[in-house]
Amino acid sequence: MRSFVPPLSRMLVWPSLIIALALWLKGGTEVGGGFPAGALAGLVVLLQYVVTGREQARRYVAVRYAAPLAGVGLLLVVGTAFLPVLAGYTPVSLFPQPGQPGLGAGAFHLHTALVFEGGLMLIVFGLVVTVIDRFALSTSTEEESGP
Amino acid sequence: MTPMPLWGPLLLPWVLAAVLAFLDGRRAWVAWLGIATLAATLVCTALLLPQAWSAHPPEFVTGDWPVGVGIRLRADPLSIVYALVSTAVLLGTLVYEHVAGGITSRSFPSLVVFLGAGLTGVFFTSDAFNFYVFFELAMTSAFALASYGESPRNLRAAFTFVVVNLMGSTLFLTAVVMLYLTTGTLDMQSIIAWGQAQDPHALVVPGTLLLCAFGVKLGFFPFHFWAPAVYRDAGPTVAALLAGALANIGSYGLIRFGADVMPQVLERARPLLEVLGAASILYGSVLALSRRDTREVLAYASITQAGLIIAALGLDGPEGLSAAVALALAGSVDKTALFLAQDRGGERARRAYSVAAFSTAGVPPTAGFWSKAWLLRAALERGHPLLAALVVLASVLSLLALFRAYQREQWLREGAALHRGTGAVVFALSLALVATGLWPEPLLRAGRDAVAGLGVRR
Repeated sequence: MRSFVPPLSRMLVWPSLIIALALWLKGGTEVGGGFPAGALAGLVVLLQYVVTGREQARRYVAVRYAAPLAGVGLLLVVGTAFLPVLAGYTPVSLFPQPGQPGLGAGAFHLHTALVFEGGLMLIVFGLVVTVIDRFALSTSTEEESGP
Repeated sequence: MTPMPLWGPLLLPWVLAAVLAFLDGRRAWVAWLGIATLAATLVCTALLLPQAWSAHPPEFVTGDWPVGVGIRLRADPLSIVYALVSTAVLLGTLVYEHVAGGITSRSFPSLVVFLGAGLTGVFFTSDAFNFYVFFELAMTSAFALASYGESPRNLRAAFTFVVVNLMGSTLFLTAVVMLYLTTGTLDMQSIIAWGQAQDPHALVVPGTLLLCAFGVKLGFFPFHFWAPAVYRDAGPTVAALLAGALANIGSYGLIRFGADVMPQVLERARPLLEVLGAASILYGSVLALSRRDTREVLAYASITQAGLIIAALGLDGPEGLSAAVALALAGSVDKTALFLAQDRGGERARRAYSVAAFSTAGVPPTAGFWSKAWLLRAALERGHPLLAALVVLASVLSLLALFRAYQREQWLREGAALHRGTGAVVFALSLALVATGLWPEPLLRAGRDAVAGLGVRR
């Protein structure tokens, strides 16, 4: 009898990623933000590694390029933190500033804080997935060379 | 000329570490870029010196938010001297690794610069949670660095280091959460104000957790258990990074959180600190004598060193605190020189080893002599003859233990250096120790002024 776990784990990928995106976009003063979003996305990938193995999990592009993604996230974080300095603001000044008209509609507002949190999400996701991948790699080579 | 902005030494290593992460660190020019980054950070930090010593140390709040919403960063003399010494140690170690036959891992320069960014951030921040963030950045780079070399021996050291230090981080995070729940703020100045207005006994539990967390970083008795295994099995460069630069977080954190943020709690903890300090001094010195592996001897000597810092903190009054700062700064350079002098041999490394060993034991004219003499004087002034006797005993035993290496280590007696240039780096470090020993004014002033404004709300 085929187990229902592998198809179920695959079905969970997209809903989880959508929840992660929602966590990222909510952020701010509410529960959420880049860190839990990245951690959730990382957990989904961990589930794929555990259930279907390294080969299957690496079908996703974001999993194969996790380490560069963390680097891009780092550049986004450092950029949003320090680029305002060039224009004479204090570090980590976010735009639009309080009182300035914002862009966006309804509950969604465009804000450089989103870029910062997005960068954080990519760092967390990239680091988690890279570590998982290294563990998976070392265990799979051990199994091959084992008795 | 406009004064150096405080974000200068923060921005530089952050941005360049991020850039370096994309480059291959095994190439010579990438290593030199990393070295240049750390050198520039060192210069930027040094340019902050006059401002830090002025009546209004440089500070800013991120994003111009009001205090309590935004994160405050601030550079007082204590932060500056720690940042200077730690960055210098990192710079020396990176140069050493580059001239010692090249870097073997693509991420090494980037990780060292990240470690520098984390350390500078830890020293400059004036916010308890932000302290944790930078602390974790430094720790994450150190976790990755600990496995540098990638032999099974190195990986075993890395695993021990990661597991023990993750426990330390958890304790620290718990303490920060408790501080926030108790005082309602994470800004260090506001916590000082809270402690002065309210019953500071509510801070005893977070204070104890902080002592344990920083105890793990600094490695004093009974939190020392990871140190010998890690320092023995990690490569000499990594051991120098961990013992010389990263352990500074422990002593800085204890002084910052103990003497500055929660002086009332430190007051209550004094008897405990004295006992822990005395135990570490005895334990480290005796076990250093019993070890045959020189790196293990160094690890136990660093436990003694940590014990001296704790004992100095346990003394009442500013003299003890100043001695703690001087001990930490001199000890950081001592340990880096001792670990780096291992392995690659040569005439200069031999001389550097003996100078750093003299400094660790407190023989004049070295930086270590003045810091130990300071502790001795503070102990006698405060009526702790037993502690004074322990300091002298520790000096004699360290001298014995470190010079017994001459019986076992071939490279200490003969042979040329394996790599040109490695000796020069270690030699420069030991020259700094002797120069400070001959002209101790900067060290003494750093120690005295660093603790002058602590514990008072500014």
